[in-house]
Amino acid sequence: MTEILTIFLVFSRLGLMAFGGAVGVLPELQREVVLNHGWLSEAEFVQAYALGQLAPGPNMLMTFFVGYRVAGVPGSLAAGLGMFLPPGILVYFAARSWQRFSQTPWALACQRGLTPIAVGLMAAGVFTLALSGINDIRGVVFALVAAVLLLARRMNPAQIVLVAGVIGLLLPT
Amino acid sequence: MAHYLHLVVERRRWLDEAQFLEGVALCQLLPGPNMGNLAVYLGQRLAGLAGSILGLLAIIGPGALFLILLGSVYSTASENPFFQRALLAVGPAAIGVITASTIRVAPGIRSSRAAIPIAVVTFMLLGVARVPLHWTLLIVAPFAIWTNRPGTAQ
Repeated sequence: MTEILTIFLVFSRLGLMAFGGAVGVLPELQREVVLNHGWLSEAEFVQAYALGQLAPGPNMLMTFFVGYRVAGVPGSLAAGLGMFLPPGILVYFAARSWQRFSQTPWALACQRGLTPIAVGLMAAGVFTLALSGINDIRGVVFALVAAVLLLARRMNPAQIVLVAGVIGLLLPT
Repeated sequence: MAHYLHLVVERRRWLDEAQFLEGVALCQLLPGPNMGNLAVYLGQRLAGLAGSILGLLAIIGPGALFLILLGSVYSTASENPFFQRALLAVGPAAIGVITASTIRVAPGIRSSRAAIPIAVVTFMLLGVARVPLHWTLLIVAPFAIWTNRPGTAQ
């Protein structure tokens, strides 16, 4: 029971610090899951992120996968609800009065201030995952092709990841 | 997000585009996964508390179920050499995907002052120096918001 509570609290803290979306929280998520708690190995963490991309819905659904690997279905619910519920409660209460504040000068100032932070956080998330997940030339090629397919062909991320998995399966090692 | 907007504004006509974007702005201002937050916001606007709860459940439920199933497959099959080979490829592909998403949103910083220094310092602190996220935010956010305080919009 204490482990489930720990999982919930760790992911709640991460959810409440996820400014500008999910990718920015990846360095901290990796620190907690891999280094501080030793729940997953570095390679498993990258795989968890990638498999999370296959699911329909937000990127941070990966937390359900991570939680499952740590403590089965209860762990999965603790991690996923920890990530989504506390920020959701904040949004729920803020939504009721947001119409009055959304165009105030300070609300707009906060938005302008946070936008470049969000991009910096995302870049840090990409960098952190790349350090753990790209170890050879084949990895570089997969990443480059995937990026180009998304940017130029606007392919769906889940399709790209799935196709990469199938190609990986067929390639000799 | 474009798909979300199309569904809510054009297909269902639940909100107009300005109201939708107002919700997007709130979800970016507050912490948490953006799509989950937006589901709560839209649910609240359309049907109060019940709407929020249903919105969140609907957006995470199917994917969560899928990942729990995938987790159990992973637990039994992770030693299988074919599965291993597939896993070696999906990681880099997913990294390519988020690299592309980051490149796509980056031009959005143009309307902020000191945008490039703020983004670079944030990246260096969190990504390179591995400063914990809460410290990174406490160091960068006050400066960024003050630099973009009312009256400074470009």
